[in-house]
This record gives sequence, structure tokens and C-alpha cells, in this order.
Amino acid sequence: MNEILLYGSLSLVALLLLVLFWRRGELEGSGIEPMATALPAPAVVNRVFSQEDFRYAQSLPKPVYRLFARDRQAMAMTWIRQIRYTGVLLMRRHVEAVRRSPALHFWKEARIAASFVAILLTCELFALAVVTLGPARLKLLISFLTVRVQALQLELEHPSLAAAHETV
Amino acid sequence: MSRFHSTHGEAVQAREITEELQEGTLRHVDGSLAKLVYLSSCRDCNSGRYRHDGLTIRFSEPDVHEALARCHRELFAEMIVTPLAAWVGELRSYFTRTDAESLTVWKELRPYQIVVPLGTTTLAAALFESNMKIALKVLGLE
Repeated sequence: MNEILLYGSLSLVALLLLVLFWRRGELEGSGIEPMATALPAPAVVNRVFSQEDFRYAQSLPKPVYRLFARDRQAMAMTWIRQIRYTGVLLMRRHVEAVRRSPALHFWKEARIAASFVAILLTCELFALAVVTLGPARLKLLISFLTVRVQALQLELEHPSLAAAHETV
Repeated sequence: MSRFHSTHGEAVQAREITEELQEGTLRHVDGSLAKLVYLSSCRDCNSGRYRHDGLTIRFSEPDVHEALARCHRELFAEMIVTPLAAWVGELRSYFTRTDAESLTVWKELRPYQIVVPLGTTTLAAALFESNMKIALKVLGLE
């Protein structure tokens, strides 16, 4: 039983690392520069996931509604990618910083790593939910993800990225 | 002069330029979209610098640029969070005040793409473009 748990955990970690590596390549190849870590203002994100707009679009002719649904889904995925990229960038900077640190706190590092993995996993789940349920039903998850990333930013004390949340 | 006085002076001047821009120009332009179109037309497409002949008589070019850029960003930030239904209404009222063929031209040339201020996030720019496309489609069906 213990072996199954051990191998299961190792496989999960390996899978996460693979996903992370793949995403890293995907983002670096997509032309998204570090500047793009400036996350959009919460009001813009709320508008992308707005139920009000969704209800209005449902009253429009089918081709227009399809265009709306396709665009909003693409925007939701863009936002998830940005959140994930912000997490990856924060973690990369953190790893670079602590590599030179003489005093590492094991539990603090473990907590940071757990927060990071939670963000990555939530992003994957969120992306799946956007495709299957559509962005308008996922408003609760937006605040959850935003809070998680902000908490990680605060923990790692990167004021430049924290300020980036105010951008339109 | 102390740094405080210098910063205070700049803030007062920025407010003066903004007030003059609002009162002298933007007050006569109806609707948020028309104001955005006007402000983006003040911006040089190559340099990204804003120019306003009337304002540069009284104020320096860099100050006028800053004021217009800030005003553009604020108006855009207001419009981008407007509900889609209101967006359609905004475009409808914009096209009632322009030439009859402007709706067709907008659909084909997509001039609204240059209305986006510099430094806008990818998501906000995408939302703006999508709302424009949808609103134009709705108006085209009416």
C-alpha cells in the first residue's frame, strides 16, 4: 500500500514537472514577454466571465452567440495562461534567489512549493471547466485563483508583480 | 524649489490640462466611443505621442501628451467594463451621428483596433475587439 502511494506521488510530481516544462516552452515560444505578467484589472476579468453579458448574448441570433461564446472562451484561456505564467515566473525568481541563500527554511519552502503546485493544478482544472462548462459559470474560481496568486506574490515579496494587478 | 512643490505644481498643471480638455473639447463629443475615437486620432501612430494644437499654445508638449494619454486610458478603462448590451447601444448612437456607410467601413477596415491605448493588457485589448465585433454584427442585423 505504501509503495503504491509512493509511486503514485512520484508519478504525480513527474507529471506536474512535465506539464510545467511543456507550458514553459509554450509560453516562451508564444512571444509573451515578462511585461505580459501585468495581470489585467479584476473588473476586466469579471467582465470576461460576466453572466450578464452571457445572458444578453443568449438573446442574440445563433451565429452572433457562437462568436461571443468562442471569444469569451479564448479570453478565459488567455487569463488562465497569464495566471499560470505569473506563478511560474514568481517561482523561477524565487528559486534563483534562494539558491544563493545560506539559510533555507524547509517548511517555508515546502509551503511555497505547495502553493505553487495548487495554483498549477487549479489552472488545469479551471481550463478544463472553461471548455466544458463555459466561462460564465466559473465566477467563484476567478477570485480563488486570483487570491492564490496574490498570496504567493505576498509570500515571495515581489512588489513589482503585486502592483501589476492594477493594470487595465 | 523643493521636490514637494515641483510635484505639486505638476499635479496642478495636469489637472488644468485635463479640465481644459474636458471642457474645451470632450464636452462637445457625444458618447464614450466617439471620445475614444477622438483621443486616439490625437495620437501619432508611429511615435505614439499625443498632439493637441489648442492645448500646446498654453502648455508644454510633454505635459499635453501625458494628460491626453491618461485621459485616453481612463476612458478606455471605463468603456471596457461596460456590459455588452450597453456597448451595442453606444455603437448604435455613434453610427446614427456618422455617415450612412460608416458601419460597413468599420466592419471591413476595423479602425477600432487603433482606439486601444498603449500599454493595454492582452485581455483588455481582446475584450475590446471582441465586443466591437459582436456589437457591429448585431447592428448589421438590425
